[in-house]
Amino acid sequence: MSDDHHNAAPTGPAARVKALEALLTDKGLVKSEALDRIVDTFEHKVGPRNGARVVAKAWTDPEYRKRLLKNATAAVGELGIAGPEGGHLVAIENTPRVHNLVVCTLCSCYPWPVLGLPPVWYKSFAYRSRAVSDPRGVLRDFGLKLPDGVEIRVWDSSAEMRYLVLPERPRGTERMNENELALLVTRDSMVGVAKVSAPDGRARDAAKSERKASTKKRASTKG
Amino acid sequence: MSTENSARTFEALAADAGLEPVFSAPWEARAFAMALGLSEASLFTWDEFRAHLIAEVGSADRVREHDGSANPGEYYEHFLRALEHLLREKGIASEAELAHKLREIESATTK
Repeated sequence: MSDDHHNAAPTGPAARVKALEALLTDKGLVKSEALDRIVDTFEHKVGPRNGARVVAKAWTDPEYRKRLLKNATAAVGELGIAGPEGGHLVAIENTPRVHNLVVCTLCSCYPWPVLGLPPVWYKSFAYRSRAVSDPRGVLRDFGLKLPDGVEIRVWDSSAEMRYLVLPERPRGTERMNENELALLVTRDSMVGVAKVSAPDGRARDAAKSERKASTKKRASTKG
Repeated sequence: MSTENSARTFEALAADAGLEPVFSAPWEARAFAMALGLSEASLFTWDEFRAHLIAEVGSADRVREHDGSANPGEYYEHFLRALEHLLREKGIASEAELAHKLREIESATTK
């Protein structure tokens, strides 16, 4: 019976990972505590908040912004941000005329030290295949409609180059300090699938879409 | 890494960005940690691992282009296959050793 079972179903990934860890532990190549530390680092310590600090500093310190655009690896290093997959980091700046979008068409290259590990959608076939061929459509899917005059530049990440989008600082945030600004900066804005909104703007947008939805609802119940 | 200052703001930021968990199952986290840990211990380079990952992802992409099926959750299955493949190639963990270990664990848990 159990043999039939073995032949029928390929072993699931959870069991294979368990066996692999046990085997590598027997060989003295991995230690459970060391693996725990790596997992903890990527679950709790490295994440888009690092990138948000970089962006907020670039918004408030013009000299830092220049250094970031010139050599991003060195500039994020100034803030104590470094680690695996952090070399060859390039910061690309959004402007009113140019919007930047980052993808890794072949797998999942991503600037870990500033953004953490990539989200599921970034690794998906749909995103990887469409970001280059139909960037405007991809952005629409993310709820971002850019005026026709805005040029979209798509950056394909690789082993050699990792990209961090420096989003535009939203209007209405002139009085906010660096720490407050960092809270506004989202992961998605640093990959280029979103813009950063000012707190007020966000409230206004939400109210607007709520109004729109309720108008639609009324229209559809009438019809 | 000086994360203390920013750690306080992380909760708000995470909620704001609507972040999903970094790993969707514990085995994904373990597989990732083994790959990174082994590369940091210089058993292979991350670029070597990436080449295997690209091969796994690429072959799944070709299947998908052919039959249109898609499963965005499968990334770490490619990741695990890439790791197993690389470890076989490097003579670090053979298929037979892994199968033996699997049986050992299974029989220990069913006893």
